[in-house]
This record gives sequence, structure tokens and C-alpha cells, in this order.
Amino acid sequence: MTYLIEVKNLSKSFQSFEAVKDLSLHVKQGECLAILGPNGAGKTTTFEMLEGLLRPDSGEILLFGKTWDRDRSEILSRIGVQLQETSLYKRFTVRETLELFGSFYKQRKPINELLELVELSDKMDVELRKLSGGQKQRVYIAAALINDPELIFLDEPTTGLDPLARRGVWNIIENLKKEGAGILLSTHHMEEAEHLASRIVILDSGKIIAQGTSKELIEKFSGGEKVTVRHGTLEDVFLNLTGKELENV
Amino acid sequence: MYSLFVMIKCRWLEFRREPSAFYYVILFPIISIVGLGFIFNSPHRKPFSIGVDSSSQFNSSLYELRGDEQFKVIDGSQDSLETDLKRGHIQLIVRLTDKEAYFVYDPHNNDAYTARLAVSAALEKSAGQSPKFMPVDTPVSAAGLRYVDFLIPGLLAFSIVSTSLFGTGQLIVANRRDNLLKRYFVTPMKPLSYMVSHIVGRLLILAMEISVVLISGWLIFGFKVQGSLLTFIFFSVLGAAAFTSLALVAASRTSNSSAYAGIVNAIVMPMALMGGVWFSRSNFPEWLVHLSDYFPLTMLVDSLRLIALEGASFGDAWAMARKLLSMTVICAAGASRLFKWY
Repeated sequence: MTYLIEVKNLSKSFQSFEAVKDLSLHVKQGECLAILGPNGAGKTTTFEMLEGLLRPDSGEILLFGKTWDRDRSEILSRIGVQLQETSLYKRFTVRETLELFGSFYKQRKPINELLELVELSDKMDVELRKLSGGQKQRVYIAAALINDPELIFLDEPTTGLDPLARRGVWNIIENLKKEGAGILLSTHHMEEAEHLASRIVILDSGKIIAQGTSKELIEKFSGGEKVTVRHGTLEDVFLNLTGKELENV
Repeated sequence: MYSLFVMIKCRWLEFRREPSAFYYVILFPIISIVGLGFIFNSPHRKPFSIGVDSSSQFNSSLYELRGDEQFKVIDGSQDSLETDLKRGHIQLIVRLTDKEAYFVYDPHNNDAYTARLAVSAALEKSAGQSPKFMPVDTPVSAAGLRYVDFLIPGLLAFSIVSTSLFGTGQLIVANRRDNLLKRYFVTPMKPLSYMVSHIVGRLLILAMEISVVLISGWLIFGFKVQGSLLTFIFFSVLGAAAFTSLALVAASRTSNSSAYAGIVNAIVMPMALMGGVWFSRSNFPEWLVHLSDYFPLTMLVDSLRLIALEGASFGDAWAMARKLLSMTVICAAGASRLFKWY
């Protein structure tokens, strides 16, 4: 079968700084792969290479079995991207924003349906500047879904959101999984990875230091004597693997 | 095509919903026209202002005028009087020689013509004691001699420049800073459409700028373009194209709004001050006049004034059109090479 994402031996340096080292991973249809790691672990660099924004120094990237160099426009029409720290024009309404993004694609989801999915149906004609942080983030996610993508990149979609808003985003991601899309999610909240991801890749200093389902990771790495899956958390896994705390790095 | 249409609509909305943009394009020109126009050009001024060339030794013949409330006599050198005439401070220049009275004025200006007749009559009256003067009329070529006529094309040019550089350019820089250009780049959006949407959006705003300046100038001061309106609009479009291209270059890489504002101020302010937007460059030292000849803003201001004030035809202003056109092409090419999406 063709993976949605297949990455082999990816590396990228900025001057002497090695941001990503020999990274390989894959994402299947209907799967949510979470890349978990502290700030500076290389999550965003990895995302930007996969999204065709950065050219890797070495390694191979295949999306839907295709390469950025040869099939750029086809790939672009089949993926949906939510970038970290984007801000859309604040004086556009939700509808206008989505119309703009929709206009880039031949195939697009009806805006009503999209807003139902991200639970913003009542905010259709509100300008973005009048929305809360969580609502704005849901608009950005909606913009990434406008072309009904087969593969969705969500780069730290809940960073900076309060717990309630984070839950709202989780609901959206769970619904997307049900619809069968492949999702690549980056986060530094282990709770989030545990909750949403089918599989987890733990990244530190540009390298994969562990991967598996959350259950596997906890069983294998949470250390401590007689830790059961129920009591161990990914936080323990991370602490054991790196000696660092995840959230406060 | 649909995408281009939506993007152009977005450019328009961005403009309309940005209070400062709205202020710059609509309010600023009107306030300038009204403010400066009235200050320099009070419509209620009753007495005729007459400039008398003080180098003449026959000025005693004008004593009648000096006592008359209808006249305000200003003595000065020929050069300074000509400037006064251009700015609308005086309506007529009188220079007396032993046999002739030279009148410099705009024959289309009723006030000026009336002043000319009144001065002739006064000279006739005093003919007893002095030599009889033969009147010689020297009509000046520019039709609109009031300061406001001079000001309006200048303000339009300035408005075109500042909207291009501060509007379009600033928007692109902000889009880059907000990662929005990057976000567009991961969609199938055509980069060319993005550029075209900015240019078309800019033209829509230009249409407003021209209308605002011309209509308010006409309603308040009866300003009229002496040459062809189409040529005038053509040059405005050309100016907008040239300065939008310049904005694309200036905004091609930076994502720092204040750095961009600094760059743009460094470009715009010297051009505006020395390019003769508000005042005629003829008062500047010669070297500065020559230097400012090379400013693109000067070319735009001068060509708009030539068309509006002197009724220049397309052919007359062609040399400047060629320069503005080259600037557009060079800057657009530079922008497309330099432009950074993220």
C-alpha cells in the first residue's frame, strides 16, 4: 500500500546546527501520528520539510507516493496545513477567510459543513479580531480543511490555548480521524498525544528517540518499579528518555 | 480566475476595513486641498493683488493705485513676482518702461483681466504728468494659476506614492510577518495571482484617489484638468504601477514592519519635500532642481501638472511616461527575483 507520508533518512542543518538528523517515519490512511517533543526538538523543521517549505539536505520525502519536486501542485491540492503562529487578516469575517482559502482549490467543502465541524456556525459573519484564541485556532483548522484533504498537518494546534479551548480542538481532530483522514500532529503536551495519536514519535534534538503507541511507550520506557500503563504517563517516558521535563523546556 | 476574483475582493476589503488606509486615501487629500487651498487662496478676497516690478523708475505713475482700496500693490523683483503669480498671491504683474506697460497675467482669469483693465485706466489718468504708456499684454501659458491648481496634481501624485508604498507594501510585509504568505504558499494559490490581485486592488484604490481629488477639487475650487482627462488618468495609472512595483521591491524580503516603514520614509520624504509636491521647485537652488529631476515622484508630479495646468498632450509628456514605464518594468523584475514568501 502507499503511505500518505513516507519519509526516509531526513536531515537538515542550519549552518552548523543540526535541526533534524536521519529521521524516518510514515503515516497511513486514517492514522494520527503525533510528533512529541520540547521546543527546539526539530518538530517545526520536520513539518516544514514535509510541507514543501524547506528543502532537506538529504533524505527522501514521499507524500501519496509522490515528490515535491515533480508533483507539487497535486500534493498541494490534497493536503491541508495549519501552520504554527499564523495570523490571518483580522478584519475578515470567518466566512470571507474561508472563501479566500476555498478559492485556491478546485474541490472544496461547503463552508456551512466546515463550520459545523469546527463548531463555529454561529460565528460565520464575525470578524476574526472579535474571536477568542480558541475560536481563531478553529478557524485556522477549518481553513486547512477547506479542500477536504486526505492528509492534514497540524503544527502545535493547541499551543497557547486554555484547557477548555484545547478540548474543543481535540474534538475536531477526533472527528477528522473518524472521517478517515491521515493526520500529522505536533505537540509538546503528552496528554494530547496520548489522547489523540494512533502512534507517537518522540523527538529530541532532531532525532527520534522512541516511537510506538502510547501504551507501548509507557510500558517500555516509563521506568520506575512496577509502573502500570494506567499510572505511568508519557511525561515519565520523556523524563526517562531525556532527563528533561517536557512542558517546561 | 475565480481565485483571482476572490483575492481582488480581499484586497478591496483589506483597504476598506483598515481605518488608516481609508483616512490616507479619502480624508487626507480632501483635508489638504481644503486646508491649503483656502489658506493660500481665499475665495472671499476682494482687492486685486498687483505685483509691480520695483526695478522700473517709472512706478510713480502708479500712485493712483496705491491709494485705492481695491488694489493691493506688492513691489518686488520680476522673479519673485512670477512666483507670487504662480502661487496665486497676485493676479497681475506690471512692469513699466519709458514707453510701454507690460502686463503679465492669465487672460482666462476674469479677476486678472479686470485688474489689467483697472491698471490701464489708472495709467491713463496719470498720463498728464508722465509719458504715455503703450499697453503690452503677456498672457501666461498655464491656464490654472491659482495655488490650488498647482497643489491638486501634486497631492494626487503624493497620494499615489504613499498609498502604494505605505498601503500595498506595508500589507505585504505584514502578511509575511504573520506567516500568511507562507500559509498561502502551502495552497495551490498561484503566486502570480497574488501579485496581480495587489496590482488590480491598487488600481481600484487609485480610482478612488483620483475621484476624491478631482471631484473635491472641482466642487470646492472649480479645479479642472486643462489637458485630456484620459491622459491624466493614464499617467496616474502609470504612476501607481511604477510605485506599486517599487513597493513590491521594498517589501520583497523584510517581515519587519518598522524596518519597512523606515526604508519607505527614507524613500518618500526626500522625494516629497524636494520633488515639488507642495511648492514649486523653481524656488530651490539650481543643483537641487537638477537632482530632483531624477526622482520618480518629480516625474509623476511634473507630468500630472503639465497635463492638468498646461494642457500638455500625451506626446508632450511621453518622455516622462517612458521613464515611469521603465521604472515599473525594472522594479517588477527585481521584485519577482527578490520576493520571499517566508
